Amino acid sequence: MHFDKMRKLASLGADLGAEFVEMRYERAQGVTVLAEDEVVRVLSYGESEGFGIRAFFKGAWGFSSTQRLDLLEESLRNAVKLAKLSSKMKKDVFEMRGCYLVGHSKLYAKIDLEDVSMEEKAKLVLEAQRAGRKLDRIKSITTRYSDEKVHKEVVNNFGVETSLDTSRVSFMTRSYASEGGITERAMETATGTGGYEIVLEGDPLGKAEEASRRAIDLLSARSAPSGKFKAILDPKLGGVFIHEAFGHASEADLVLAGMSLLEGKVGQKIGAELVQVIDDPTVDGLFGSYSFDDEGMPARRKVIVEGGVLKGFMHNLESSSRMNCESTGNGRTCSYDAPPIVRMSNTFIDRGDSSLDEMLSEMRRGIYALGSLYGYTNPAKGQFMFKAEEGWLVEKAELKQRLREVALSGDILSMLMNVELVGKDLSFQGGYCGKDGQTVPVSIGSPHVLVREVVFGGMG
Amino acid sequence: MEWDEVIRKGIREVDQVEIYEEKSRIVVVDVEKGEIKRAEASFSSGVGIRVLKDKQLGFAYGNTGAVERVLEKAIRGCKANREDPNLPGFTPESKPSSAEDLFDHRLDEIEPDEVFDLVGAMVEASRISDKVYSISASMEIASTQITVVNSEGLDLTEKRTTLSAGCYVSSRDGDKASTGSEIGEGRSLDSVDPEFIGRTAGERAIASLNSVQAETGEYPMVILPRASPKFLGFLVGSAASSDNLQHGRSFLTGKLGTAIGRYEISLVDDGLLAGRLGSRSFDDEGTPTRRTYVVRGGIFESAIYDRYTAHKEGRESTGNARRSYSSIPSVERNNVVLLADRLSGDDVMDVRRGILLISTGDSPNLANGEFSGLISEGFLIENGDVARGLRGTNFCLSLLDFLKNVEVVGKEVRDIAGVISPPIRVGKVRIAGS
Repeated sequence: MHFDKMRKLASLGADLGAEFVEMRYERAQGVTVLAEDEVVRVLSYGESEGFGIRAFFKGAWGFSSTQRLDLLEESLRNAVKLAKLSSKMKKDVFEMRGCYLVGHSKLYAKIDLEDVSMEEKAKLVLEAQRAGRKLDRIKSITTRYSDEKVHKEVVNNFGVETSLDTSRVSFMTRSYASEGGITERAMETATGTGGYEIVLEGDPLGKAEEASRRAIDLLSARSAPSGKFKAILDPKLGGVFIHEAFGHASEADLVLAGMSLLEGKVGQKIGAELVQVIDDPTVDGLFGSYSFDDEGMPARRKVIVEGGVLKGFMHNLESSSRMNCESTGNGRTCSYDAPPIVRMSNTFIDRGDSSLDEMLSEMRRGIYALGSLYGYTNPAKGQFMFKAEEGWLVEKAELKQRLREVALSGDILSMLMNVELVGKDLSFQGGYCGKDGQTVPVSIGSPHVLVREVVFGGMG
Repeated sequence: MEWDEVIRKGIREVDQVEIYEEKSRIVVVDVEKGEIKRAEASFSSGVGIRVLKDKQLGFAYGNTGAVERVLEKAIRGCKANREDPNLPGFTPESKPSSAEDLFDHRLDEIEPDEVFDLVGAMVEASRISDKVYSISASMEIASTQITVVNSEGLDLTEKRTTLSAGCYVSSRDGDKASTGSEIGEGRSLDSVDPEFIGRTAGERAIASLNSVQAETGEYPMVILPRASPKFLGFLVGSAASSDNLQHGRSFLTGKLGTAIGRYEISLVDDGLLAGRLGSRSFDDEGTPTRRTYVVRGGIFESAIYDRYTAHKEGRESTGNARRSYSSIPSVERNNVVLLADRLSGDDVMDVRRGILLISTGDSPNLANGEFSGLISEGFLIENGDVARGLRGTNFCLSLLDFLKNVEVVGKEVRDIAGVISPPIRVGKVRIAGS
């Protein structure tokens, strides 16, 4: 606990002239197991701790991080000096606003991560590997388990003093199947905030088998065609779609930087009536869940799009100060040594009332795309892209031909307009999201969605 | 505690001990809407310790300075681990290679306000028109000291500096919006030209305002060095990684000794080039770096190795181990150099209708070599000239025959993230748009 020291230094920073001072402490520890083809390559324990100090002066920031308590004051002085220096040429000056808030939160884990031995974690990973390797034509399996317990403290000179104890687990297994010179791969994951129960309840052996089965199925897949098609996105892909096609563009720091096409669009219709988009870090147990953000602001559920209308942006303290609203609790960092920026938490398309069969029956010729590899976006240009692990060519409502990895892309301002049906089968998937060199855990969610027109880029 | 003391303590309980330490100082300056917004100066350090006993590996890391605790945790992990018969011992005492000009004391000592001037020059150069809507930019300077010490007599230290700069411009004209960007990286203050980066980003943002979706079809595509890490870097670093080949995860599995490119083309992994981003005198296990022909005369000649994967095949490491203090070493590329002098010409852009690829955020599929991606920044080429910007346009090709389809390469070589290459024109690329 470093509250006393950080409180004193926050007021010292204010005495030195900083308009806003924030001191953060973070301690993390965790275990990683990485196995390849039933050999444990990594069984590691790691720990890290440090302080991140931000000072604000007339529209500009100074930041400094240190691992050492004895250098904390020097780092603070450095941050204040850098803020003043940075502000010298600044014309766009604004004030930081904040509130008084004291709170402490501790996540309940059914099975504390420290109560499970490294041997046991390694054993589970190897068992999963064996389950996945049983299948014929499986050439290779990589399985990674990692867990983390984190303690965070935030203090600022407006009176914020919060702490957060949380833990999270991620399990990933990827299978490579091979036959006749063709190799294909598929991945399954189990993630969440909580304890070791996440991986136990996540059926790791079943996940490994499933990844293997899907990799084998892909051996008979063809390259996806290229061009514009009607598309059904499965919940995994629908989640990436909303995260990339829309989520990033509604982060207020990008809007303020002149890097989002959603600037000035609050209150306007930007999507089909049946589209609701929500960001909610308060959903229990999801990978992107938290109770306080890294600026000490309480997490809350936000409706970003309702009935196709843009309701508002996601904010941290800076963007909310500049746009004259409250922080939405989306100020997050990847570590003590990086400043909090606006990030998503668990972002999803809310459930609708259609079934997959109804969607298929709407397809004369189209693509049913499943599973996600990754996605990214350029919100200033309005483009986004994401990659599905596999797909089906659909003809007259029937699954005709299995397709391998397909690339989908589109335009931020028209994509949500093109949503024709939203399913009732909402589900979530955890993963990592990168922005400005910072990677944070998030969840994405969606039901099946039917989209009128998507550009597919494939070899076929 | 001194390192030899840690090692002495460790070998009371295990056979071998290795310490990897990273110490760095970073200075960062960020620009938002054309104005300096944030400056950072920080120090950090961390230690990773590997221990080995009876073919069992233990590994732990930490940044808290409690090195003894890290050692204890590594020994604890070693006991909890299983035997891996493929494990080699740690690197014996050896003389490092000599990669020059990796450290610039001017970068090591630079103060944030000096960086302001460089960033300011970049931003000003990008303001080329009143259609420039917003400018974001960033410059990061890192000075890092890497130390690898082990119980086998190895004791190596090297200091390296890097300067990375990027400029991102958004442009608007009525209801049209676009972006342009450029990056630059190097190991010395003079290796990056801020004005070039700013001007190029601004020009691209303006030139692409009037953008189109290319018509679906087959085109020749010119790949600028900026996108090369995704092609050449991936070929060497991922597809030719011995780790991926040994597990059959790479599309190059079983292709050693076969032609994967035109005979005029060679592709080299080189850790020794002076002043390059991928250079170092020794890799992260302490193996001296070297030059490895991955592709020679079009033939896939060699994979790249670290000690673990080399030991599996009974051969020597190629000096390709890379890690941070928080991970164990794995196989990664050093610099990648494309040698294709005989295909070099002035006519790389000389096509009637083609695609200019500046950047993509996508990566190839390791298993099958298919590379489909969105053209993040790119232009149509018409009659040899850069024409309209592209939006909503995807490319797709196979990395298996990518080097076979190279038609011609340009003359202006650039180093992007340690991939040193000219512009490359390939034929028959599948383009998906309207």
